[in-house]
Amino acid sequence: MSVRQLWEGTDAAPWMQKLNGRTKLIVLFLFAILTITIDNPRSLFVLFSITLLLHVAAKTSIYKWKVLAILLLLGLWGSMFSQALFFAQSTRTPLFVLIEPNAGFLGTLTGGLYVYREGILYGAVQGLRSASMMSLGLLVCWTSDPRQLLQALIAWRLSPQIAFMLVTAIRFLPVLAAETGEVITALQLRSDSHSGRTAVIRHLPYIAKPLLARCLRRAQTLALSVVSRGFFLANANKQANLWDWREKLCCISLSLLVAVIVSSKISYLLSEQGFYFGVLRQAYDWTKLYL
Amino acid sequence: MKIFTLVLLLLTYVQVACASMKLEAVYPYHLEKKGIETVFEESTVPLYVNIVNSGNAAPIETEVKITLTEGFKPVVDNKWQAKTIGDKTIVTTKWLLPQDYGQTFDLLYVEAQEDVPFGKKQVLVEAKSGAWQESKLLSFTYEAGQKAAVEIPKGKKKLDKKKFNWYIQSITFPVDNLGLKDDRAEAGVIYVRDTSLEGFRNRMTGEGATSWSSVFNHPAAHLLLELRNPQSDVRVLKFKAELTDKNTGEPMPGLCVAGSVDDDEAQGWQEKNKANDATTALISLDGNKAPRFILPLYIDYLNVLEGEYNLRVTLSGGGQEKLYEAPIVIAKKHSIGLFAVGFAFTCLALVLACSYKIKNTIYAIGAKGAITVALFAAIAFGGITLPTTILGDLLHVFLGPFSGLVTGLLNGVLQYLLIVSLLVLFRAPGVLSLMFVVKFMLSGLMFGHFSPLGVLSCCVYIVVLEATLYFCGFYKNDTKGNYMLLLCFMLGVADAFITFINLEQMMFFYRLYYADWYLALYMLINGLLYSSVGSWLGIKTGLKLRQVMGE
Repeated sequence: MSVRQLWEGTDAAPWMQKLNGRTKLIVLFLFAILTITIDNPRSLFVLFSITLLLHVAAKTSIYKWKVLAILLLLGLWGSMFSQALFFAQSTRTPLFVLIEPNAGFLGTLTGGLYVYREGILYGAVQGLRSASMMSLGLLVCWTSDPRQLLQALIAWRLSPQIAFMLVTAIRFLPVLAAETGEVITALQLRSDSHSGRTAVIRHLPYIAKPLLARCLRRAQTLALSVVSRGFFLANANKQANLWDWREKLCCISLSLLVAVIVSSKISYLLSEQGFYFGVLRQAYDWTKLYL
Repeated sequence: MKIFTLVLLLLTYVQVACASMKLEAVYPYHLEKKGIETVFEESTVPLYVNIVNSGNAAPIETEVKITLTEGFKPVVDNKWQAKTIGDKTIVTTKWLLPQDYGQTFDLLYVEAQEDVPFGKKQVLVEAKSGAWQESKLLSFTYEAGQKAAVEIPKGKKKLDKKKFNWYIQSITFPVDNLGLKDDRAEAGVIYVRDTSLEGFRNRMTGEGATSWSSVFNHPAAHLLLELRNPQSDVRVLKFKAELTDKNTGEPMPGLCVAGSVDDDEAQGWQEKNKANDATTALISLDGNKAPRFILPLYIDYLNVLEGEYNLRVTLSGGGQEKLYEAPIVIAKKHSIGLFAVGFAFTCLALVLACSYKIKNTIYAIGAKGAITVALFAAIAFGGITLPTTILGDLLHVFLGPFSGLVTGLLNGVLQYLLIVSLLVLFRAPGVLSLMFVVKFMLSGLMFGHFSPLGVLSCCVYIVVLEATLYFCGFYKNDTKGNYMLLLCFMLGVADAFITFINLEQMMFFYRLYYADWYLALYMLINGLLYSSVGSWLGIKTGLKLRQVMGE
């Protein structure tokens, strides 16, 4: 499977492809709010599991599952690594000492750098937030065409000019990638050094200028074409993009649910600071147990 | 010289002639109350002996002798020796009084035995040193106290009263300074202020937080200590509260004392010797059967870690020690995180309020400008977002949190190169915002990065950088010489601030921890250094690209 195929949503389950872009974006955004609201490790794991179940329901291909697994594991590892070093809660048990507190300047600067056992576990739990968001984000990308999401943004009154700019950027991404390749080839050919002549990294600092110059020339040509057709300043062609009432209902219900959860969490946090309301006692209990 | 010697001899003589010693003795003694003359049945009450000496040329050995009346026994330790002669008990000790001036004192706990007849009693205290001798006859009344409500049934083992003469009934925290518990506040949780920045500063400067005395000398919380004193003992006790590890029981840093000496000497929290990470106090049992004490808890803000501990309260005195442990949670107020989030929401509000102006910018730069912005955003997406998303995770495996310093070359240098060169080509307010909006949306459409943190972070970039450009007069001045150098530096400073806000937001929303020095390092290298270099390269590139614009 090519990289391009990986980013196309053609092999996803039809029901997922047919979902309106607005539904997908709303669910994605609300889900992100949920993941940053919830603290309970079990609830976070449930949220993460839901995203994986959605992948199963969307019939994500094996190849994409592999990519997803690698990205998730790398993300979780990163979170565990950083929290193992910076975990600042009691109790914490140092497993290794990387820098002693009295080891010269570095010791003074860092106050000692250790790998904490509890930090590894904490990082794994907190990493579930970004893992959940990444998993759902990839699901949306793998099951949607960028145009579908763009239409959703236009339906929410995104300026037609910005929409045009977005389309231009998306259309020209492969072109720019090809031009980068050409520039690198040219730089390799012009290189007067015999050692490491073909190494890409050697030519990276010199790519920007010719690439940007090409962009400017292309922008001039495109602008002439667009303005002469009166396309740029025209209003967006608002095609009838119906939003199924069932999807709408689903989004409203989810929004209400998220609003209740967020309100409950905020009221609980306020209660810890003295803003306690007796009538909300059950909500506090519920929040403490599950959120 | 002769006169000087004479004066010196005279002074020495006067000093010896004026050498004096004075004995002071109080029984029953109380730390706070004076003039108590009653000892209750079977209670333990201290006897206070103090010798004040002045004017002696060398240390003097003094013998102190206390004669207790029938039925009263001393609670002796290795400093006092007791012997019984007839129906009386004689307790003796030897003190070495210091040279010149000194106060030497001690408490001797005296325990009333069972079945001692009530009435007037006396204790004789004598002190003798060479020719000096002084004695005090202390009178007191021995009275009946309240008997225990429950009698021990016959046949059951009799309790050793010495072990239960006083004990800790409970500790409650947090309470206010009147000992009242706020039912709305969660029990056992103490909130402490956020001192991440001060902690870093103090570690680097190697000084105590000298300007924080007003903060440190105020208790973080109060603790209500309830004791039971069934035998109406009068005692002076040392209170010590410390945090201990929940698993190992080892003492942990976190508590301190408010002020130990005076302003010239070290404050308690500033003391170099951190051997005693504890809040200490002296309390006194006054014979009350259910005494309550409201004690302040001082937090060492610079060293305390949030989390779960056990609060170990130790009361000791008169050869006795009682321990009590209760779970405690130290929760830090994430005020810097809240500030960062508040700032980010303010930026969001500003961006929304000014969003209508973005159309004006598009009209100002025209189709050519808009397409250029779109293509630059596409390069930014392909050259920054794409590699940092994929390669960044891979680098994270090997470099951990320090991978950001490598990917920062793209985030910092390349991003600012693109932004500044674009601004050199199209110098108009809003161009930068337009590029960030397109880049963010591209990232959302291609990777599904539509998250609250992404939106807020984008808004922080837009507001801070646009404000920096506006206040630096970028839209008015020409791109020449030192001014552009200053602008690059200012953009670096702005990016350092943005880095700080975004990292704090990430810590707040994702409940992550990053060390203060890591934040500083990231701000310095990724923020200031990379962005300034990127901006400078951007200016150079932009000026070259102007030639292409003119073709």
